[in-house]
Amino acid sequence: MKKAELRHIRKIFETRGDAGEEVRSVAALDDVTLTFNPGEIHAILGENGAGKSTLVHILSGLHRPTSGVIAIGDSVFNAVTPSQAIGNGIAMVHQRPLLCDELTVTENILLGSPGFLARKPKAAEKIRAAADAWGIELDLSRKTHTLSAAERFYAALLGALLRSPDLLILDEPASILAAGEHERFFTALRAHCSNGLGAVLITHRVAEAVRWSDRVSVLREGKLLYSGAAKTLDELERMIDPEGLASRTARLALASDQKEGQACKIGTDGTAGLSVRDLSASPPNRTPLSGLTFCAPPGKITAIYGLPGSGLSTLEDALSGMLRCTSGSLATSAAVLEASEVAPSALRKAGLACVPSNRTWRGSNPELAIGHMLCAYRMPRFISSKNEAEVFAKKILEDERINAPLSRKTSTLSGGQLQRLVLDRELAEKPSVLVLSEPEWGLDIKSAAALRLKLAQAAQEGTAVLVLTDNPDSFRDPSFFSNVLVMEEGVLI
Amino acid sequence: MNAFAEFALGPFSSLWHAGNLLDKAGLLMFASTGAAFALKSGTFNLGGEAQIYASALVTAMILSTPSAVAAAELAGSGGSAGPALFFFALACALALAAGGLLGFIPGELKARFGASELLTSFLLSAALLPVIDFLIAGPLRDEGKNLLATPAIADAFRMRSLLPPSLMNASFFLACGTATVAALFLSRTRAGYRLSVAGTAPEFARFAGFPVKRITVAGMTASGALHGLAGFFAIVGTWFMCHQGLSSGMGWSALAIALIARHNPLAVIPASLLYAWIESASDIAVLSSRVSFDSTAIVQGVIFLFISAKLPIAGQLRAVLKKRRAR
Amino acid sequence: MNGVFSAFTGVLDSLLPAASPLLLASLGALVSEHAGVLAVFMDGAINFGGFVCIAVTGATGSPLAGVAAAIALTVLLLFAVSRFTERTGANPFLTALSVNLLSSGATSLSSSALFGTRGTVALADFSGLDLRLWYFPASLAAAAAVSFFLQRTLAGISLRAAGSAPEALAARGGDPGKYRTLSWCIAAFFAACAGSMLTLDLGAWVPNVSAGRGWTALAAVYLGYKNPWLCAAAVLAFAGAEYATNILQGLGRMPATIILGLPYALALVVFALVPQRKQ
Repeated sequence: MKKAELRHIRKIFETRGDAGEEVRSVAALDDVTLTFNPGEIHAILGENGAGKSTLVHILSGLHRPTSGVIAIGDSVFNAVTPSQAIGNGIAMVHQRPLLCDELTVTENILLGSPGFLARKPKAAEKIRAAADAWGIELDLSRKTHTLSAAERFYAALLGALLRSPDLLILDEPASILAAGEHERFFTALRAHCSNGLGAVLITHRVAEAVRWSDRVSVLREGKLLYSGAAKTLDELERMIDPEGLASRTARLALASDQKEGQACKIGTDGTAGLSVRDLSASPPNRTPLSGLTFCAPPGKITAIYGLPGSGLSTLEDALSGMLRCTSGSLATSAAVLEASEVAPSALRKAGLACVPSNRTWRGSNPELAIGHMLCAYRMPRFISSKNEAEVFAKKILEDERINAPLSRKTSTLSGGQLQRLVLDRELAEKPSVLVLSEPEWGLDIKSAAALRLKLAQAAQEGTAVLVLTDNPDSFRDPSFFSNVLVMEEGVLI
Repeated sequence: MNAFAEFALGPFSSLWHAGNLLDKAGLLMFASTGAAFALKSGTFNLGGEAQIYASALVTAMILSTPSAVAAAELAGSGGSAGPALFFFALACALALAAGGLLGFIPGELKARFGASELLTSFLLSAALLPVIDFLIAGPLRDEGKNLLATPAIADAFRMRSLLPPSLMNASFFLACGTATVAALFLSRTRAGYRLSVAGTAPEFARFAGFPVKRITVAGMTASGALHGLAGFFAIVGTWFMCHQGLSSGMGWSALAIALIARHNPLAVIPASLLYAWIESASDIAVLSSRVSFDSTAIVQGVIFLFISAKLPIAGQLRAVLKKRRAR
Repeated sequence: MNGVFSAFTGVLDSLLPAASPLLLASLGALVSEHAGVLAVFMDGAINFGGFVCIAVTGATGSPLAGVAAAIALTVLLLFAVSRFTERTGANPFLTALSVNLLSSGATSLSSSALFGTRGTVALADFSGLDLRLWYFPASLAAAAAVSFFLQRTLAGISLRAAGSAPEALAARGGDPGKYRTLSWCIAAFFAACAGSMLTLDLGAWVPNVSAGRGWTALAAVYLGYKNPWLCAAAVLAFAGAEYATNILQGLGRMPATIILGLPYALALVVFALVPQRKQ
C-alpha cells in the first residue's frame, strides 16, 4: 500500500469581477504539507471555506495546485488528472455522489472502465463480493434515480472500491447515514483500514473525528493549523472557532425563548402560525408524505428533523408550493389552503416565506443580477431609474456589507453571501411563517451563528419559524428549538 | 479587394437597391423582435416562417374581400376614408391574431404537456406551409394573372414609398418603434421583468410565485404576433399580394438576427440592418454570377453555426467592448 | 382468402421498403438523443447524403462507391460540426439547425454548378438496385446493432451517461464531448444510409428528397420511448399512415401539396402528446 503526500501545496483562486472590477485572488490553500499513511483514518477538520475540499480535490485530480507537489508512492507529480489519481490508487467518494440517474448501479460502476464489451453479470458478481465485505445491501439492477441518498453513497463507494484503491477519500459520509448505518459503516471502515487501506475523512463533526480517526488535521483559512494524533473535542473546537461565537449566540437564543411544549392548537381558527393537516403527496421516485399533521406556533422556532430519504425534501417542496399535494390542507393566520390550492404565489399571499435548500438554483439563479434577485417580490409595475425596489436592494447589500453593484450576477457571490441575501429577501416580506430547509448546510461556524441570531430575532417578532434539517446537532444547542419533530418514511413520529 | 468592395457596396449602388434594403430590414425587424421576445422568455420560436406567411395571407384575403375593395374605391374617389381605415385596421388585427395563434399553440403545448416548443413550433410551421402554398395556388389564386399569388390589394391600402422607385415605406420606422417599445417593456415594466426572469431562471421564477406557464405562453404568443406584423407589412408595404414562398427564409433570418442581437430588441435594429445588407449583397452577387443557388440558406446556416460559438477572437472583442462600456 | 392474403403481402411489399429509410434515420436520431444532443440535422443530412450518393454514383457508375462516399462525406461533415460545437462551446441545437440550412444551400449550389440545374438530377440508364427486398431486414439488423451497442458495450453505456449525466462521466475519466461527437457521427452514418436508400431507389436526386423524414424520425424516437425496437414499431405506424395518404392522393381526395405537410403534422401530434426529456 502506498502513502500519499502533499508538499507545500498552494492554491490561488482568481475570481474575475464584473466590468471595471479588479481580479481578486483568494488563497484557498497556503503552503500545506500533509502525509496520508496507509492503514490510517485521517480526519480533516475546518470550517467551510477553510480549504478542506480544495485539498482533497487536488489529491483526487479535480483541482490543479498553483504550486507544490503531490507524491504518491514513489512518483511525484506537479498535478494529477482524475484518471491519474485513480490509476495511482486514489479514489474519492463524494457526499452527493455523481451518478448517472438513467443507468443501473452496475452500469454506473462499469462507467469509465476500459474495454469494449460491458460484461454486466461478471461485474455484478465482483460488486456483490465487495458489498458483502463492507456489509452493504444494495440491489445492483436498480436505476440510480430510485436510490435513497445513503444508497447512492454506497453505490459510489462500491464503484470506488472496485478500483481497489490504496487511499479512499470520503467527503462528509456521516451526514447522509442514519445512526445505525453510521456505526456499521465506520466499523467496516476501521476493519479495512487495519488491513492497510488508507482513508481521508472530511468532516465538520468534531466528535466523529475524535471517535474514529487515527490522525486529525485542522485547516483554517487555507493554513494547516495542526496535524497529529486526535485531541479532545474541546481542544479541537477551540482551534476551529477561536472566537467562540457559536456558543455565545446559542446562549442568546436560549434566553429569548422559554421552552414550551406543543402550545398551538391545530385548527382553523387562524391563530396558529402554520398548521398543516393530513398533508399527503406522492411524487414519482421520491419519498411520499402520508397524512402529515403538525403546527409551527408563532414566535417559536420549530424543527423537523429527518434523514435524507425520510421525506423531508418532499415536505420542503410541498411547503414551498413546488409540488402538488394530493390531499390535506395548510393554514396560516391569513388563509386556509386546500392541497389543490397550494402554489407558490398562494403561499406567499398567505404570509409564508421560504428559504429553500437549493439556494443557487431555486432561491436564486447564477445568471440573475443581484438586484433582480432581491426585488423579486417588490418590482413596481413600471420601473423608473430610481425606484423603491432599488433602494430596498441597496439597503440589504449595505446591511450585509456586500460591496457589489446591483447589476452584477449572483454567480459572483459566495455561498454564504447568497444564503444571507436570500434569507434577507424572504424576511423583508415580514412573513407570518418562515420555512427554512437545511439552512445550516454549507455554512461555516460564524455564518451559522449569525443565521441563528436572525432566526431568534424573527421569532421574537412573532414569526413562526420552521426549520427542516437533517442535522439538528449543527445548531449546537437543542434548546434553540422550542419543539423538535422527527420525520421518518414520510410520517412524523 | 475590388471584388469585395463590389460585393459590399452592391446594395448602395442605386436608390432602388438601398431603399429595398431598408424595407427588408424593416420587415426583418418586426419578425426578429418577435424572435427575441421568445428567446427572452426562455423559449425558441422556430415557427416564424408560417407565422409570417399565414398573417400575410390573412392580410391579403381581408383586403381583397369585395367590401374592402368597395371601401378602398370609396376612399380613392374622394369619399370617406373611414371604411378603408377600418379594413386596414381589421386586417392588421387579424394578422396579429393569426401569427399570435400560431405562437400560442406551441406555447400552450409546452405549458400543458411539456412538449418542446422548439420542435412543435417548427413542425406546426412545416405542416402549414404546404397548406398555405396550396391555398395560394388553388382556391385563393388570382386567376387573371400568371403568378401563383392572391389578387393584389387596392391602392388605398398600400403604403406609399418614401424612396421611389424602391419599396421603402413608413413600416421601416414603425419597425424601429416596435423594437424600441419591446425593449422598454422588457427593461421597464414588472411584466417584462418577470418574463425575462422566467426565461433565464425558470425554477427561481416558479419559486417566487411568477406564473411561469402563462409567461411561456404569453412569450410565444407575442412572438407569433410580432411575426404576424411582419406578414402584415409585407403585404401592405412591400408586395401588395400574397405570392407563393413569400416568407421563405424570413423566419430563419429573424431568428438569426435575434441571436446576433443577443435577445435584445434594441440591438435588433442595427442587427437587422446588418443582416439585410449581407443578404442583399449576396443576392446581388448571386444574380450576377453564372451559378444560381440558395444563398440565403447558406448565410443563415453560417450564422447559426457561429452565433453561439465562443470563438477566441469574439471573446477578446467582447472584453474590449466591456472595458469601453465600463469607462 | 388467397386474395386477401396477396393484398396484404402487397401492402407489406410496398410498406416495409418505404419504412426502411425512416427506420434508419430514427436509429441515428435515437443514438444522438441518448447522448443528449438530439440530431435535429437529420433532415439536412439525409438530403446531403442522398445528393452525394447520386453525384458519385453518376460519376463512377458504381452505386457502392456512391453509398461509401455519401457515408464518408456526411460523417465527416457532422464530425467537423460536432468538434466545432464542442471546441467553441456553441449551442448544439443551433449548430445542428445550421446543418439543415447549409445542406440546402450546398446541394443547390453544387447541383447548379455540377449539373446546371437546381431541380431533379436523374442517373442516366440506371436500372435501380435489386435490393428492395433487403431494405427492411437490413434496417432491423441495424436496430439490433444499435440496441446491442447502447446496452452491452462500454462505449454505449458511456454515451448514454454523456447524455443524462455528463459530469458523472467526466468524473470517471470519460470525455462527454467525445461521446456527443460519436453520437453525431453515428447519426450522420444512418442519415447517409437513409439518403442513399431514397435516392438510389428513385435513381435520381430530387431537392428535399427526404420530404420531412428527418423530422418524423425525431418524432419516432419519442414515440418509441427511446428504445430501438419500439422505434421500429413507431416507424411502421408512420409508414402505414403515409401509405394511407398516398392512397388518398391516388384517389384524388387530397391535394398533393398538402400531403407534403402531413409528415410534419403527424410528428407534431406525437411531440405534443408523448412525454419528453426536459429541455
